[in-house]
Amino acid sequence: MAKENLSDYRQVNEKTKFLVLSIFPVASLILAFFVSDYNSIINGLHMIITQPDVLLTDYIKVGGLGAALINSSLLTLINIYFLWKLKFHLGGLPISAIFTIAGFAFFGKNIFNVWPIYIGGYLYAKYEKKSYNSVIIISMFGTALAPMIFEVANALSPSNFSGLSFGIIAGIVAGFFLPPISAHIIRAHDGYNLYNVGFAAGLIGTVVMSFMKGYGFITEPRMILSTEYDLLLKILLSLFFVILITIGYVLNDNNLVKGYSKILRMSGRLVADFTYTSGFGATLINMGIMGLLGLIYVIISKGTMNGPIVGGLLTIVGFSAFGKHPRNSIPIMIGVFIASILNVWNTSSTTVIIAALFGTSLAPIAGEYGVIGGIIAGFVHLAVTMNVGVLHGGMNLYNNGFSAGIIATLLVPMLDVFRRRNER
Amino acid sequence: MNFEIKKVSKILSEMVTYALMGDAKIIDVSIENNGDMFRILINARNINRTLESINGLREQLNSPRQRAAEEYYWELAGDSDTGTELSLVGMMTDKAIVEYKDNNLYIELHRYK
Repeated sequence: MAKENLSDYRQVNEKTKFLVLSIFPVASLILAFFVSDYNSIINGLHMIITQPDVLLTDYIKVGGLGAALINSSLLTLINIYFLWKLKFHLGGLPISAIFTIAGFAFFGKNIFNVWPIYIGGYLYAKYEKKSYNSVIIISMFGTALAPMIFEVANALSPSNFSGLSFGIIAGIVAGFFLPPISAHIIRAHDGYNLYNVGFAAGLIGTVVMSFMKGYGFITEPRMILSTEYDLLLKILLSLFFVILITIGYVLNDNNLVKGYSKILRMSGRLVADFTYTSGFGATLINMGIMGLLGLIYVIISKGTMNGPIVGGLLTIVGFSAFGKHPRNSIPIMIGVFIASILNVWNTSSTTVIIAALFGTSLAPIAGEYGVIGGIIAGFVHLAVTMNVGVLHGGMNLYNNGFSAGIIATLLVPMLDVFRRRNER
Repeated sequence: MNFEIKKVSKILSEMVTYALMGDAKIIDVSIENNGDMFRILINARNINRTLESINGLREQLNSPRQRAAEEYYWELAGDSDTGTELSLVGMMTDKAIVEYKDNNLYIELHRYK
């Protein structure tokens, strides 16, 4: 039984939404053949699949820009196809999941290593006698643990079929338990960390890595980053963000501001689906604006575009359908920026820039507790995110989501103390 | 405990919280456990809520059912004071009727199993 739609804003049919969602992967697919030839792409994909994927492994450096674009494109299109076949209503949650996949397919998720997580999710749905519709989004986010498959395989029996089998089994087990764990863990931060699976995956990754270290396995930290496509990526992404704003403008009855003030008024705390509250057009406008905002941050910080930064920008764009907007995200970025000036880290380094981009996972704190609360959250986030990666050995691609979960869990009750006092 | 039962009790808790925060003087609740669905009825008398708040409630409870969001976020429902959980309740239900007259609020929610 469908509910009556009481939203004031123009609703868009599902086919149009799917088409809009396919723009980025289809453009990536076409662009790949302009920047690389067929053989380079195949060789690049082989390199991407066979190398470890722990943080930070930039697929643009590992396999070349063409292969990285193809990897992102294929993975994203397959996931869009899943949602289409499952007759998904394309609200803010699936949109954020698709863009997260597209982004992380530039550094850690590839067309080979994600599938065990989906199989685990599918088995969980079968076991619980639920439709896969209810679990697939968690599986999509859960591919944060994709690097674990290679790491477990490598630890147990490198270059051996049995080692790979164990790795795949580990991925399936993680995928199986992620839905109940991520649903449970959300109570810790009360919905103030938008990358909730990152928090759950961080805990799982920490346990797995601790276990592996107990048997003498040490992960090699990686910092493989490309530098050669800085300007090209900035131009292409700017173009994409402007296209999103333009389509949003048209779908919003040729209006840039209608519905937007309603988005800005929301705290962004889970569950905030902008596509329903303000319409698909206004949501696309917000996604484009947030993408440009992220890009401006990269430029101000004098950062160089690479796979992880592209991933950070696309993830911001996705979650701008589901919680993020300029009012609640800018304070977090300011907090990280100030911390990078006052702390030992370099403001223009990739790790600091992605801390600011992914740190907007804490945007609901700024939305709920104001600018100061947001700046404090961002400030603390940088220090924590720089130190928690060692716990899971980079196996959890959402390292910032893990850090944000810890911060939100601690900071929200502290901020609540002052809010309650003000209310008395 | 069966998650299905916990979800229904969370939905009820959210609605009762909304009524109590509106300073309702008497709140009657009723749950019907039918073969294929739960029917949840809340009647809050002498509630002190603005028309804007009631319209917001009606809009949020009419969010389309989203089983993926429900599976992921259902534990958030029921005990918060910021109001975003009202749309979560909307995502966890298939039909929502909200009527408001003379400071009396009637809410009827249907949740198919």
